[in-house]
Amino acid sequence: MTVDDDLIAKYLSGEATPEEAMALHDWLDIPGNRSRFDEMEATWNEANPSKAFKAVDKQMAWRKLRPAKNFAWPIGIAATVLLLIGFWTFNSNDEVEIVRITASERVDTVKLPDESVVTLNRHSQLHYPVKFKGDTREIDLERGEAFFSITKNADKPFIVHASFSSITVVGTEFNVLVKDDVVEVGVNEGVVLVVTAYDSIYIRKGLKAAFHKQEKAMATQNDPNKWAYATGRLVFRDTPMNQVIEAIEKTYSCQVSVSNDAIKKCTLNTTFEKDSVGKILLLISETLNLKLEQNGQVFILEGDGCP
Amino acid sequence: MKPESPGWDGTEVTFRELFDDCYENLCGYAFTIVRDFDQAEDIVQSMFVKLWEKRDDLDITGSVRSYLFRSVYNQCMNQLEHRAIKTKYDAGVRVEPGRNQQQPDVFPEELEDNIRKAVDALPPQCRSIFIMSRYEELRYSEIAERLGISMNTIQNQVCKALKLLREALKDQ
Repeated sequence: MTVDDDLIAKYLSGEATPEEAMALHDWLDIPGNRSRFDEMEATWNEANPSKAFKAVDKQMAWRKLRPAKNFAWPIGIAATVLLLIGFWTFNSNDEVEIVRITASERVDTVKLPDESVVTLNRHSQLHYPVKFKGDTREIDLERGEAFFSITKNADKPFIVHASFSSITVVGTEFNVLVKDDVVEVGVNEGVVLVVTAYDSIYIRKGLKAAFHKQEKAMATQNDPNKWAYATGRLVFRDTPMNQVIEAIEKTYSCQVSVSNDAIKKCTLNTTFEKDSVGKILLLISETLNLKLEQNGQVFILEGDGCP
Repeated sequence: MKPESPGWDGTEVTFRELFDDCYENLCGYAFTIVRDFDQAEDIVQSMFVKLWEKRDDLDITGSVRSYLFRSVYNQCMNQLEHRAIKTKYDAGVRVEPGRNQQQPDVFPEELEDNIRKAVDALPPQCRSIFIMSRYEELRYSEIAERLGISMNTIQNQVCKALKLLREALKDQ
């Protein structure tokens, strides 16, 4: 496509097709061409100064578009709440206020506008609108992991956007983990429908599924201990200690060492409900006849272990 | 010319690159069509917001820039249509095609004398067309309907007007 004066004039008068506009801008990148365009543009503008193009503030526009990630007022160390005023323009100027919650070192619990509860694991972030308008309730899990306890509303399905997937529920309890290229969804109560560009699947209570971008998903058995960060519930049924320790470490973000590998062979048959990590380890040590020591964030179990 | 613009992979980095690459040009383009700076920016910003939101659902084959320019064009056209409908409702006036080409008195009041003179000095058809495009803000198709001439002629005449005006204003 030749870019000539005709095309420039056509562009300035707002008649250029998208292809012509692109060609023009490409052409403007070539040194020497800009001045010809500027001349014609200057004349066009001079002919009607009230309708001249203003310079665009790209930086400002970017800031409006993407939230200022460093702006926060801390509420303890537990969570940072960022408010973003979003721009949705159709014919009216509807501004939708969004709440963004970031959990860094601590697990955080959030109550949504519809009374649903979301527990955000460490190093996770999500956002949702201040009000659930329209036919759906939508929330975006930007990264990390969250456990959702959703109030039932058949008329207004709840949708979680997590990376490349969409999870629709009516009212239920489920966990979503966003990790690089994988989205893992596990269900505690009820049924969820997960939809990605490649597959969709219903997941029932007790099951979980991992979704990869380009593949079909499969539902597998779920381990509810993985969500103890939110539910506070750890169930062990003749579980060997190495798995017990793994579950505790993940839930409480701590480190548990043993003085003797034989300890890992011991099995545990207990349920812990919303107990602190210190209390849990103390109970374990008493059950297994071990001694509990603590060195900063590291717990040490000492003793003979099991045959 | 920048190296090949990033293809779409839905990441924030690519999004930022695209934004940096295209935002100003897209605003410029939008402005030529809707002729309102705030609306032009709004349209482009909305488009980027939607692009980001639907980043994983979008299947953009071919040039992403192409997609963006086309989107902006479509949004601008919608805006013009919306405006036209609104104007019709508000004014209750219907423009008759092919009416007598008297020079409409639509110079904005604050135009400088030298501009007014320079536009007046344009050849008749050229002047009418230029006025309709620049001041009445009619689309070429609308001008063509009114005057009963081809789009090509209009395009030529607008270009001619600009060149003549430039010469006239340069001399002053």
